[in-house]
Amino acid sequence: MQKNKFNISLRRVCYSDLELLRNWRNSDFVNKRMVSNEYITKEMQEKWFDEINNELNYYFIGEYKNEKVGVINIRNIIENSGEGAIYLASEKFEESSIVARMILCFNDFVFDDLNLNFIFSHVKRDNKKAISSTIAQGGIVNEEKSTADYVYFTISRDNYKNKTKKIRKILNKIS
Amino acid sequence: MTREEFLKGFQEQFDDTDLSLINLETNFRELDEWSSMMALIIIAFIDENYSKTLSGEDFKNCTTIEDLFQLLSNK
Repeated sequence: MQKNKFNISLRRVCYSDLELLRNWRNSDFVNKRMVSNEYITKEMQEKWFDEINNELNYYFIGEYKNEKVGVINIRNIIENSGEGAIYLASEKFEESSIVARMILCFNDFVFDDLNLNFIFSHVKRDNKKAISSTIAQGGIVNEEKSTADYVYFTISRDNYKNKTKKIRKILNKIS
Repeated sequence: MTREEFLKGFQEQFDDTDLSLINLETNFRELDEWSSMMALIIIAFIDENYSKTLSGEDFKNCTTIEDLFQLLSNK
């Protein structure tokens, strides 16, 4: 499965990607932002893939101009919602508009192709850039669920479409 | 377009940043709220208000808000 939009190509993760993903996931840059900081072994990675390689979980590798940018996903899809997350291949992409393109391409897939109504996500409270990015996607903080360490968000389809209208317009113009 | 108008418009794109931290000499990438989404929001703000479309390359060469203003003025 492949999706192309805003000059981003999203390709569903397959078995041959696992070592690459494991390297990204174990890097300091990614690891310190994750809920679990455990080192991921090859066996753990394969077990994880067996669990997520189905229609309730969609993990994509994003590419921009033939360069791999990172992994974006929605998991545990139940009825009309799922849990979204992203991690990047390298710090160099962090503040680049490439990441925003990847997020919008993926969210469009979630809301328009999978036809879900809500994406849930949570972000470490000290990860200000991820919090800002989630709010810019239309994320609303779930105060009841949020903790001292994590901010929990809900992105509804309507909020997403409204909040990203101007960004999508400019992306359509420059892509 | 004046510097002051541009700065005010730039500041208005931020929801959670103390506006006193955003001045013409601010390195906007050092703002906590700066993200890849904010980069596009600023490009959209400039396109909508000044009818000028910045490329990623244009953006990459700017560090401060004054740099952005100068770029726009010369574009």
